[in-house]
Amino acid sequence: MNDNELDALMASANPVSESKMAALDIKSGAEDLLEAIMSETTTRSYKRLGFAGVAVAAVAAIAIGVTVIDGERGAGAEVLQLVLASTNRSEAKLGEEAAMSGVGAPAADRMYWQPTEYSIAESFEMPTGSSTVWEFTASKSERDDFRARASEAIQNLGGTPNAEHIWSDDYEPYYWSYSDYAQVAVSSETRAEDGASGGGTSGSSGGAVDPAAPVSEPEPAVVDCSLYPKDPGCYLEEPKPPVNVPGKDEADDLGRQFFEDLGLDLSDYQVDVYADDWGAFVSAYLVVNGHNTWMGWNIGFGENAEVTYAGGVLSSPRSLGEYPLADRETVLNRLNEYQSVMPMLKDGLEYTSDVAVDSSPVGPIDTLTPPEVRKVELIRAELGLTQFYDVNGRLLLVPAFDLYSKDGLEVTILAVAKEFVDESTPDEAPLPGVDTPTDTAVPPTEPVTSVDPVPGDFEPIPQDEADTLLGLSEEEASKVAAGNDWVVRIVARDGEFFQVTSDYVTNRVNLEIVDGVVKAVSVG
Amino acid sequence: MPADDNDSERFKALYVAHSREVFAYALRRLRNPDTAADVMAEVFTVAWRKLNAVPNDDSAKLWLFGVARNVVRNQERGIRRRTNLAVKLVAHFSGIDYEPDPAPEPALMELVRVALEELKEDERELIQLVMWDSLTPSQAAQVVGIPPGTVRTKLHKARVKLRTALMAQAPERFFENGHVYSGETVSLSDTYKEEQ
Repeated sequence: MNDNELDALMASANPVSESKMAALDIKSGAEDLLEAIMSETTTRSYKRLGFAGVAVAAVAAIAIGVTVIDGERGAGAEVLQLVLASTNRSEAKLGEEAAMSGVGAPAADRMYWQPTEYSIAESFEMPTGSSTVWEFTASKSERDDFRARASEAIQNLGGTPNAEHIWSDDYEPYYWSYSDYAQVAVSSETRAEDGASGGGTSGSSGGAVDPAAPVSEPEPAVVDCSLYPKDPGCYLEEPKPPVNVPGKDEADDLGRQFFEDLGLDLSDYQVDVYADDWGAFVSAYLVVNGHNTWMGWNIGFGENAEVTYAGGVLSSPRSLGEYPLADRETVLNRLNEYQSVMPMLKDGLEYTSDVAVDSSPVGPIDTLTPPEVRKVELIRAELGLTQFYDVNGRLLLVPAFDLYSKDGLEVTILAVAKEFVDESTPDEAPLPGVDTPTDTAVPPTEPVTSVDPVPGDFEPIPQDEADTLLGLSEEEASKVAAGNDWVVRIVARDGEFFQVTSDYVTNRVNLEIVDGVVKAVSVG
Repeated sequence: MPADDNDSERFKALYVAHSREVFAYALRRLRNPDTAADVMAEVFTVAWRKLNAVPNDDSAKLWLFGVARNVVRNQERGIRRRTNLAVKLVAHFSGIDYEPDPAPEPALMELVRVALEELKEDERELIQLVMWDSLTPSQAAQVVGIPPGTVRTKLHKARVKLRTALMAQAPERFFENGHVYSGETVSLSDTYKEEQ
């Protein structure tokens, strides 16, 4: 069979020949189609946004157009390979183990979630249809331009954007932050931990401050200073409020100036302002398709309106495509399998169980009671967006359901249909100190997509070896780590917790430094 | 979402120019007018939502094919979206006489369908884009998003594989020298007998 014969054969087997195609009687004209699309889209927007009337929804549908930024061809086909490894049920298990042992798990007192058994009330219908996945992307030159504008904007407000104050590197190419806590260290630190730092790398640290939510004063830390003399609560003096902190209106003006100097089009953002005696904080959150992304930029002011903090994303969202939404069964499975994928409150604060985990050393394991399992019935769902990294390091905004119980927002969970999310990694990835890897580890089911960790070569640093860094100075610890070929990452210094990626690196030690000394070590 | 008159006019122009091609694209792959209508509804909904991203030149068709390709793949994975819009379109298309004219021999269509299944997904798509959708290799490259040079290499390999698959599947349809027999099926044994 030569080429001409093959062509002829294929042409004769064409199910719709060129001549037949030209004769196709497509009765639905463009007018009808457009009307149908508008009707369909408006209905969807109405359902999603829960507005009170179609007229309002129609306005919203127009507004959506404002924030759609450069959609791309290739919609909807790519299977998402999200980095779930550090936020999967294994981590919940880690928290559970920590709850029982009280020691040995990294930051157990902050990362613990109480086991919860979810059910979905029959009385409500899960949102259906599809929603867009967005990729935050920018070329290096675009990011560099953004960085330059950010530094200039800080400078315009009297800040000193030198290397000491700016955090931005190639490992986190999408984020930039400026912090100068020298002026009002204590208050800024408190606020930063209170959720105002913004631009976090996981969904639970989005840095959102919901103006509608009641703002409570932070609880004073209860720390046994005889056991932890270097805890900030034990050695820092009682803080005093700084003077001349800008009020809400002034902060709003300053914040908007900063955002405009950055080049943000504020019509695409929701601007929130918070101010109290300790500081003022202004956030501009990008709104995409009517959903607050809780991503954007924010800036904090302290004494005499000095800039104490600023930070945000250096890139813009572009559509990765439309993805079908997960059905009820998938949602329920995820809720109960990946309990800590995104158990966060809508304002971005970490979910905190009311079953406290005492981080102090306790008695033998067998004297402890396992945490009680909560049973929660979900009665309502709203479609929103939340952020994930994928295995290729891309920062994505992914559809997520905000699920409500009778007590309010309970949990946010990935809303993309299971066919479009590779969920093979979390089930298979063992965790140090919990599931000890063995040579007989079961290989993951197809398709294999994880990059790290991979069960076959998952050999994390043993926690007891990592613990040898405890009590060493930061410099000494770095030398010891380097001698062992370990990668060092400082995740906290003197009570300030930094934004870090949520990936798991088997040969990395995460250090918390207090007063120049390693206070806590975790592997990953 | 675009909403002004210019956008509406542009969308209508896109539809008039390419709706048949998009429908035919889907029909060639799915061979069912209902699902092809689903695909078309989805493609043009995406086009409306992302009208600013649709090229203003001839490559608009390729952009639409790119979307259609992804939607078809979803359909093939069993992910079928039956929106109100699709239902409405299906009603419009329900009276379409989509049987090819002249109708290909069913056995030949089945033979080709099975042979195409032997190819990798991207090879199969490239073959169909060039042989059925009448795109040039460069245009096909845009649809599947790979370099034109790579497309040419893949197309060459795909043609060899397709030819091999056809021959292996129905050797009795072909003379030993590989030429297509343009008549009724001839049994292999008859062919051998003649040559002996």
